[in-house]
Amino acid sequence: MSIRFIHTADWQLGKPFRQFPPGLAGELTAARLAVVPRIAALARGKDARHVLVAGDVFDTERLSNIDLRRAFEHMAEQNDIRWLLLPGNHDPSRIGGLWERIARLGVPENVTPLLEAAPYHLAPDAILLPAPLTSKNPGRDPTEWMDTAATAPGIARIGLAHGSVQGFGSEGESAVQIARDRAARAGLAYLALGDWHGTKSITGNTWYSGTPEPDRFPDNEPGHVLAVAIEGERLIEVQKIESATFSWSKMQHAVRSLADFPAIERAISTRTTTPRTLLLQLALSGSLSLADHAALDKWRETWSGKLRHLDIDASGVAVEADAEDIGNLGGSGALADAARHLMAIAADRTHPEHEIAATALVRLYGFAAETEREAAS
Amino acid sequence: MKLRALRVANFRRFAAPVAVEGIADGLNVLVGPNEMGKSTLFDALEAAFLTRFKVTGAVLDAMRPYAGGDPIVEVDFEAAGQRWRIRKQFGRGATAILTDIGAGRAVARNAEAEDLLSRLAARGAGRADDAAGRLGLVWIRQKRALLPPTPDTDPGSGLPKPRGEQAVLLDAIANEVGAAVSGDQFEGVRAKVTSALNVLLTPKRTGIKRNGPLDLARQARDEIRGRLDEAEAAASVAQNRLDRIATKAEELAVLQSPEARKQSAAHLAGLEQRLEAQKHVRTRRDLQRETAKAREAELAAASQVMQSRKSLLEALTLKRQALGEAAALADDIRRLSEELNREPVTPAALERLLTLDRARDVAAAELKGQAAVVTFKLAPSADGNVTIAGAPVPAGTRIDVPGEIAIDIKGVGTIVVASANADRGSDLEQRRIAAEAALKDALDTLGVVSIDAARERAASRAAKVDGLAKARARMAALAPDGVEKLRDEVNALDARLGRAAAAQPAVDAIETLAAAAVEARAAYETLSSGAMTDQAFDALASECAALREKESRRDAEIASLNMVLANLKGEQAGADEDGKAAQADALKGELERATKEVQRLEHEAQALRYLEATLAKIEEGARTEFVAPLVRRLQPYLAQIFGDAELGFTDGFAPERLQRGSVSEPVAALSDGTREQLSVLVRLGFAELLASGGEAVPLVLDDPFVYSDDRRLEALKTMLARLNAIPQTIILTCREEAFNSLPSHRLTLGAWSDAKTAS
Repeated sequence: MSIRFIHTADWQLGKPFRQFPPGLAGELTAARLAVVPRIAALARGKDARHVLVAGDVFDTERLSNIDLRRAFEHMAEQNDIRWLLLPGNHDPSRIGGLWERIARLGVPENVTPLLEAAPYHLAPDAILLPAPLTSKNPGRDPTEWMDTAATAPGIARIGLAHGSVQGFGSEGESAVQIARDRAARAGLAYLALGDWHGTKSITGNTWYSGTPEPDRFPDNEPGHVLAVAIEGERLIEVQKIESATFSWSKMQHAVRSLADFPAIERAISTRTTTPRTLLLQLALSGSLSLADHAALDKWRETWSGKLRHLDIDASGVAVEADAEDIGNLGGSGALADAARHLMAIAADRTHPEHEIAATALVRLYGFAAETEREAAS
Repeated sequence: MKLRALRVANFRRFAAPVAVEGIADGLNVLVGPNEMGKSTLFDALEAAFLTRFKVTGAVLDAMRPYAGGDPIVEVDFEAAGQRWRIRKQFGRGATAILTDIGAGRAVARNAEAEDLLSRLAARGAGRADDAAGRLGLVWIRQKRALLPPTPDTDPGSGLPKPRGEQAVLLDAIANEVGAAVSGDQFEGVRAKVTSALNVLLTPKRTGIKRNGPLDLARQARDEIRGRLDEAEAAASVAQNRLDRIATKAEELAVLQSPEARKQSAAHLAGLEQRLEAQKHVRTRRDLQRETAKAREAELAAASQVMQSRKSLLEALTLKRQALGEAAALADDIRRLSEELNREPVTPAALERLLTLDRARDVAAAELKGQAAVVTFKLAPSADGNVTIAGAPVPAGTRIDVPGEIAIDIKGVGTIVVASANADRGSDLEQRRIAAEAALKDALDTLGVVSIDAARERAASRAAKVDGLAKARARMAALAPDGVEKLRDEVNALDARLGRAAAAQPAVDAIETLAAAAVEARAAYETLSSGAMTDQAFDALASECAALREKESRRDAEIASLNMVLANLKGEQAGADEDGKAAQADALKGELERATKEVQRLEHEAQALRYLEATLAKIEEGARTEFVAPLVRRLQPYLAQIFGDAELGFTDGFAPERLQRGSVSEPVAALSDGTREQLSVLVRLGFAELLASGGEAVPLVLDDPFVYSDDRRLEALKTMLARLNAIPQTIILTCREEAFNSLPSHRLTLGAWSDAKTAS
């Protein structure tokens, strides 16, 4: 006998993303909810009928009732799939807390919240050992009970937990620590973990699925679910499947002139094949002439249109008025004098107003160019 | 530009139409008496070029004649190589018509006509709005010459005006120094900075513009912050409530579970067992403490006995010593007492002796005072021949004779010498003998030979008295109750010591007692260490009691906890429905965004302010440089009028100091005449600058030399006659005589015959 299921985690439904413009924030929030039908479709494609969500289904315990109803409605619609939901550090199962509220609101028939550290019969020959979190930091390894959980021989034991694996690093965001060798100690065929937002294999049969829809810039391969196949008591296959709508990327580039921008464009194209779904945080360093600075503004406008979101941090780019810039400002005239004065201050990193002077210089150049264009027209 | 004709109707004092025709190139002079209306002509000229045809209110009223009517002004001029006519009618039916005279047709009307007129008047400057500035620089009203060019700030608001006379002058100078492009660009950039800043900040830059983007961004941020605070407060309340729910639920679960009930009972049993055990241990400890105290008391008593005998022995030794000393003292006292009893030379006896001695001396002295003095001055041969009572008298003898004396001289007879009062002398002699006898008697009685011997004996006696007193004092200290009593005490102590020696415990017995005490104390310590402190014991007892109490109230507590939990959960459900806490995360994101926007705009405002200040500073510097071309233009004129002189300027192109030779004077301190002349010269400089920078503008001076004396006026006229650099100059003056000799084109004021037709 064999069992196939989808391992996913960290949906964080209801995350507001309000640090972004309202339209984008709405899209990002909606994209999280949209993973439910998408994962259902992927499960069907893999002949799986169970989706194990390893914690942080919801972004916060304080999620409004309407958001909760909407989430469960999405799961209810996929009625051939059983959704097994584990409370994580974002949505711990506290007395009087979120999951009690969910119970009051009514849980669809095909959704099972795993609120107890007790074996759950996944299939005739597969038992799920869930390790729900009952607080943001329970101060113990919630998977410890798996070692002594008794199951009949010949039955596959599958662990489901949320937290940081000891030794893997503190990159996980919860303070919950999970023993790295839990799968071996507890005789698990597979340990499905959540918390780390990227897809990552800890041991052969201990995996973080990562979040199915990225929600932040760190590049750790988010945006996947795992299709897991177990034969008897043995793990057969873990397959990584892309599930994201948006991709988030963070890049750093040093620039000297306009000629460096095509390289950035090429770098973008390696990140995504669909730029319109890319959110890019681009940190620039180096220096640009005034003309190139103006060109950077244009480039920003162009690429802001191409990408879903572009955030350029050019505070690390020094402004340098070159001979051509000075020439454009009339060479020996008053504007050139002003530019030289501002440039001297902008270049002096110890000057308290050097950043202001740099911006003033860029504006001076911009206004001068505008004035010239108006005079010419 | 050159003016060719000026025609006026219904304009102030000119109700009837008048005209000045045929204005020529070079120097033109219109001479007319005061009240002729020269200044009115000047105003009309300005009105034609600078006053909007649609003007109303005070400006219009000022142009109207006293009798009323709508003012009409018409000027023929040349510009851009063509002849033009501008005709403006103000008031009712206001119109402006610009006519191309060559083509004989109106090329523009009203606003368009005015716009085109401005362009023609400002030709060379490139900006239509420069016309007012350009004309203002060189069309100088009566006495206006004394003032500097109007600054580029509006005196009412203090704000910069877009284009004033200074700006025009600066542009003209910028043209001159070859910075034409940058000058224009500079103004353009500055205008953009100003308008960009005006959106963000107040005009004076001291505050944020109300409802501008920065103000709105701040308002939005503050509003979000307020909402976030509310949401976080709600979230914090919810968090606390959830914590309380968790705590209470846990307590309830513990109370309700049979396992816990069993555990609690076992816990209580354990506690009670410990309590009983402790009670036992504590009793034994208390008993042992008493035992240890008893052993220690016994040891103390034995030690005390030993100690007391030692004290007795010491006391006895001391007493015995005292007794020995006291016995010796008693002997001394006795002996001394006896000796003193035997001694008659007491201080009183000595005193009496001394009294007798003094009495004898007194008697002797009295006797001597009474006596006659007989002195024997004998010849050597008389030796042995003179005797008294048979005894020879040696030569030189002198004797006192208190009574009578018979001096026998051998071979001569007897000489009896008697004192004056022989009886009294004899009496005194008797008394002296008696005193002597009394003293002798006293000495004999005391058994001494002399007063001195008596004194010695008295001193010896005093020493003994002293020794006796000391011995008695010591005796009183040693044996206050007498030697025998002391002896009794010694005997008594001796007896006690004897008895004590009989009762004394053995040294080893004391050691045994000490060992017993230590052992008893150690046993107590051991028991103590096994016993709880009072505090811990009390706590244990209280815990037991509380637990017993709790067990007995368990059911009531379960009911109460259930109620509390139901209430808390109800509150929580209400808060969840309210959803305020749910917004906190969203609002945090919004606040981050709003804060960034505020920072961006603040940075923008700061940068623009910085740019504005930098441009102002640069311009300031440029302005100083820019005076040079004006000074150069002015120099030849100054030389003609003032000889070796130099004029200094303020930043606003106002003449500041006049340097003549080594003397430098502030312009304000100069005479009216000199100031007037200087100002006209400066205007000539302005006119030259404008002429060199674009199409020239005619210089128009209304009564320019009111204060000038004849000599200066001659020099000025000579200078005006040679004004080659300025293509056209028009002087309006009342000083006919003065200007008669000036080679110039004379203008006259005539009737404007075809005024009506023209209109």
